[in-house]
Amino acid sequence: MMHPDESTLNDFADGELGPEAVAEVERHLAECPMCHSEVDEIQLLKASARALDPTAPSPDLWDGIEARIRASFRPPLHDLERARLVHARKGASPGPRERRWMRTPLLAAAAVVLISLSSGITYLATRGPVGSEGGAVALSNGGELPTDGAQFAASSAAQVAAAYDPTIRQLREVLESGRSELQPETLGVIEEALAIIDQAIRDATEALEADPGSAAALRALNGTYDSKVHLLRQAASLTRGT
Amino acid sequence: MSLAAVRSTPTVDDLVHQARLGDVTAFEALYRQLGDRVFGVCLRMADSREEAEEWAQDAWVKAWEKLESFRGDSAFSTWLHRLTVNTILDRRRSDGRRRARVESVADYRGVDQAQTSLAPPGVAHDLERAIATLPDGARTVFLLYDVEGYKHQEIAHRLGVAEGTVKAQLHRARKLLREALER
Repeated sequence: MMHPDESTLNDFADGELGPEAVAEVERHLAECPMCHSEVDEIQLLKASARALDPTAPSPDLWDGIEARIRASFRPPLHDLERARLVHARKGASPGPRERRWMRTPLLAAAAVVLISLSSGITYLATRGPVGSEGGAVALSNGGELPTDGAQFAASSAAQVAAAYDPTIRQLREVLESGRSELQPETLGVIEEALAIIDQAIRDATEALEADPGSAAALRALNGTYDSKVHLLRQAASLTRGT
Repeated sequence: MSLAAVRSTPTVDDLVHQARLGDVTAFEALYRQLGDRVFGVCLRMADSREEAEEWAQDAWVKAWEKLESFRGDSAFSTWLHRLTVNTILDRRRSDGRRRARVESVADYRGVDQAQTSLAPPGVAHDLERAIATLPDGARTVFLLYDVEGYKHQEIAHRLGVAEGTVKAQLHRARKLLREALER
């Protein structure tokens, strides 16, 4: 055998060659110190690469991460607490206008979910048959669902709900057990936001049942459940004071 | 460590479970355990330590937001690692900047420049320096394949190139690294 080219030696070192090619290269290496040395160097380089150590970031990197995690939910509720304290000092509870203002940021976020989902559902309803959307659909929470016919729609909406229900139930329990840690106004905002998202889930479920086999509708339903879980998790983190 | 201490030490699975229920302290504990490896991936693929820290932060925030998508089919560290690589590649694509070759890693790694020959224990430092000087495409493929353990097909899919291109870049990277390490 002539000297294998560089690509072949690399493929040999990576275990990418078929049995016959491996045997041929091995026969050559047994008689060619130069090629044998080259394979050894490739193997040494691979081993060194695998052994590279993890590297520590700056000590304050976590502070930035934590701030971003908390900022995704906390600012509206900081506003709530601040407004409540201002009114408490004035000797009055927040009036209806103030309560609407305090609710606005969180409800706006939940409303965005509903509006974007509504637009998506309208789009889906005006599309033609979705014969081109064949194949399995990967759920963002893991697993796959087939895309064939009306039976798929009925089972898939139920399957999506079943996949998320345990997590939602657990988060609800944490939230319930920590209710006393939150101000009534805060709880009100959370429940209103959840009501908006639950409406979005109902609408997405109806859209999927109206358009069986639609991968886009399934993704939309999946997305609304993700939003609900995210909201509940953020709310649960507040009750822990963490 | 006493048996009582072992029993009371939460596992990664315990911490993930708590974090999924909103416990930021548990999530921080995950960060303390796995943060170095996440940062290491970012640092090797970034042009600067500052950029690597931005990417690492993005990866951890995304991990928090997507915790419910981790179903336990693989180890959490594996899931986190893949999420980190995806975050890096997404950031590089959205940044769309031409990446400059790094002349020396010492500026941002704090590594002394004493050793130049291929001899342990300096091999790791020399290899880190050499990796940083690779052309962008070759460096990315080498890190993903030889350091992070991705398959050719996975890398090709993630980068949007042919598998043959991935192999060519990998072989080129190894050749350049071997030449650099022999100097």
